[in-house]
Amino acid sequence: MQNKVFGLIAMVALIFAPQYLPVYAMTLLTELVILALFAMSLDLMVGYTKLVSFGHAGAYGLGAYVCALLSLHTSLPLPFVVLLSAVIVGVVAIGIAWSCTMATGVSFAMLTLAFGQLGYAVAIKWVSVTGGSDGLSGIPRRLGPFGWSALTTKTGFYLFALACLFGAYFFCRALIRAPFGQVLRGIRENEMKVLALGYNTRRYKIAIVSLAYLFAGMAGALYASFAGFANPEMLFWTVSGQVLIMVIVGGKGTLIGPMLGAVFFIMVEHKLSELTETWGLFMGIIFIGFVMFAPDGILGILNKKLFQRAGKKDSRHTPGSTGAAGGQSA
Amino acid sequence: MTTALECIGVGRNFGALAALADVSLKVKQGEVRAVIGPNGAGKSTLFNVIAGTLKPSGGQVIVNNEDLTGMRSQSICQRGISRTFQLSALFPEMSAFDNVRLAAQGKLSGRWKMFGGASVLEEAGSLAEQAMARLNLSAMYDTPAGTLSHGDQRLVEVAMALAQRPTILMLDEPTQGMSIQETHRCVDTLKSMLQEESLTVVLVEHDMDVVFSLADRIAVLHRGRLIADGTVEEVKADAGVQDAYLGGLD
Repeated sequence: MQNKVFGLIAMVALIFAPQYLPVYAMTLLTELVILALFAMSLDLMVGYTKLVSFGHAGAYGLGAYVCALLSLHTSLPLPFVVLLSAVIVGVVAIGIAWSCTMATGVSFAMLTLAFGQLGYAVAIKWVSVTGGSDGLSGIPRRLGPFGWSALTTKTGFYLFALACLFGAYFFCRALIRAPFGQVLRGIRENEMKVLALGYNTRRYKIAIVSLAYLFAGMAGALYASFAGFANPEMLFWTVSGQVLIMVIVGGKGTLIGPMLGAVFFIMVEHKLSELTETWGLFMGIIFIGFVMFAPDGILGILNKKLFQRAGKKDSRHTPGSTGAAGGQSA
Repeated sequence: MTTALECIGVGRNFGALAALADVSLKVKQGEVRAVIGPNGAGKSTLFNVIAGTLKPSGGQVIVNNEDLTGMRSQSICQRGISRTFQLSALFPEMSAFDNVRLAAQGKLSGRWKMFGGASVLEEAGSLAEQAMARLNLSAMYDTPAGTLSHGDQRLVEVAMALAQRPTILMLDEPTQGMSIQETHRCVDTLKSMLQEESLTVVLVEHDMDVVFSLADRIAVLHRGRLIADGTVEEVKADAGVQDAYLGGLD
């Protein structure tokens, strides 16, 4: 109950944020919304299915490049470009998932890393299409459909990104509550047993990896439209590492937690990098602290401290505050 | 009575070791068949070959006139054979009810549903309720499976198999690791369950008291070979069996 109220307040606050926040804060908030979507997509794999991916940047970067190419070479309107990019990444991911799910555990993680780095190498080398190490810039946000201009303004784009985040969140929430999601939970806890119960677990894994990549691709496409460029750095493995940290620090297996993790990560990065050049070191220490002392992440702490709702089971299923974080960041 | 399960010359080698050699047996519909034998006799190997967890090196496994030899475990499960594991294999963080419901869902055609699917969960849920009631587990719906007592965990596993409405139920040492009291309770529960459901059961068990009180017929394995196969009385009287158990434990 309480969580639902918090969630609703946060959603309303996020929707009306452009009316009250200065321009520079809106830029940051838009970036946070996009990264929250990126982190949430990885949670489908890491949190719900225990499929640890070290190559999620591959999906993010691919989405960005597809969006860049579609925006530069076609006259499709912005919303279509973003959705189409996401779907294309999702379809490509079926093949990637098919290969990666031949392995399990660490080998699976290494294969995802390999595909991510493969994307990075292609982005660097295939200069005629990807622009090489400079990437693609000057990506336009095209009007439409029907010449509609509401989504291409700064505020309009923020609201569009927010709609993507909300849409993805409710999609994922329905997914994990459906019979399909029950099977994912089973795979997370004991895959052998799920096989013995008559499920073809590989198909479920391929489906969830594909969906996770689809939403990561959507985040990448949004970022390319937002920043106006796509470059190989977006595909680099360090980005995969960062998003994994966001998921774990935020609280895996909760959808909401990774969004908070994304906000936390970016805010800490901003503050620390103002103070010291070795901010990465401190980020590492914070990460270690979370893993050792708060394995349920920020959301776990919030649930325990604020709502007095101890117990893992609760935090897994309660939709928390979408962006109490958004409020904090503002 | 028709034959539910037939093994024809089943063998399984691990490297140079023949864990199972040329085992042939028939299990009739509705029969409770125990497979016994000293440690290392090949009981679990036979069990795993039938359930598809291990592939046989030779021979055939035929269930309801269909050759299942070498099929993957999920396909075998879809053909009506549900099993439990020797070491409790549950989803420890899920509630006991969710464990059983997930098992029931595995046999429903809507198990894939990504959205909605409330009716699928409901149908699986009512199958789970029935199975848990049969095994006197109704009091522990919401308990996380990992925190149940060992005995209850084993019964939850049986409930999971039962909720799949199998044609053949395979129990791998259901009382393994239980205290004497737990064993008694488990045997009583299983007995009353078997009286109410007419199931074909294959039971691997170490504890002779459990075997004698549940089984209709007993197959005895020794060093990978079938040395006796008959009713409880026949097997009790069999000299070879006594030898294997009393004299042949080398």
